[in-house]
Amino acid sequence: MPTTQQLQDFAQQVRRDIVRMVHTVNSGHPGGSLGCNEFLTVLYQDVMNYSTKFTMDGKNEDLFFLSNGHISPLFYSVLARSGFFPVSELATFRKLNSRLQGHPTTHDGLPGIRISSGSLGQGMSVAIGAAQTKKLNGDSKLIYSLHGDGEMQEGQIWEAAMYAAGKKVDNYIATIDYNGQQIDGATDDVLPLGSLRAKFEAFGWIVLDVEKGNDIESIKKGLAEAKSLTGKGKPVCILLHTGNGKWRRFYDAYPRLARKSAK
Amino acid sequence: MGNGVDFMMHTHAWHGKAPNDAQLEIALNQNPETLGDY
Repeated sequence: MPTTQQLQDFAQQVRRDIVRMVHTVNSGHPGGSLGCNEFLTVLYQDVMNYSTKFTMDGKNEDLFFLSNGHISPLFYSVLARSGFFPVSELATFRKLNSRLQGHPTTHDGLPGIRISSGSLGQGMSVAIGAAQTKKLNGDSKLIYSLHGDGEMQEGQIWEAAMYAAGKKVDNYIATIDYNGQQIDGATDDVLPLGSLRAKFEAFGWIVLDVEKGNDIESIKKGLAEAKSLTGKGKPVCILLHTGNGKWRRFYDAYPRLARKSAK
Repeated sequence: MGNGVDFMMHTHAWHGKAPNDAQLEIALNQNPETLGDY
């Protein structure tokens, strides 16, 4: 198992990759990529069991689905540095004929990419399907997915959330990058999320918070707890706090307002 | 959001925007090479 220092070194190199890749082509999404860096580092370097000899079926492997596909610089860097494809290929990011397009696509055949993403709100549905497939196949490994908090404004998310709880998809851990920001400003200014904890719990999920969403140790502890909560008849949601949290603390202090804005 | 690069943290401004040359230099100085650049 890698040490915390090794994970921090990995994340720091990924950070360099992200800003260099985006700078080179003057295009891409550095903010969310940097925000989820430590999470994806811990997931791929410390938590998931997988083979870099990539197969789309991924039998007897933990599988990850990136739903907020715009943070592809992070995903590509972590995949490359985890051994899925040569690190040198990161230099082709967003260039013509590259396998590393701005949003991940499956038809380019890049190892590690399981869904085309970028159109927000779809990843949870796919991840739930994969989780149910694992169950049908008697495969005990887990499914993970990552979503932006702005993505929670998509209706398909809540259809999927309802389905996962209703069908007891308890081999699935969805993580929300809870930063309070989206493309046009604060989520509370664009379309208030209210309390995501209250919403997911109301849908029948187990919810846990990782308050320090950029802290390696906190993420390790949170993912370990999430894993321990699988197999209990409910899907698991991690709220990964990667923003300054002022807006969420407001809702925690005034839950009636949270319920009001959630309507 | 933007963790590890101080001017990119906690703002939507860097959702889909690339750093210029000077900003790249600042970001890289804040994050020295550890495993080797590509």
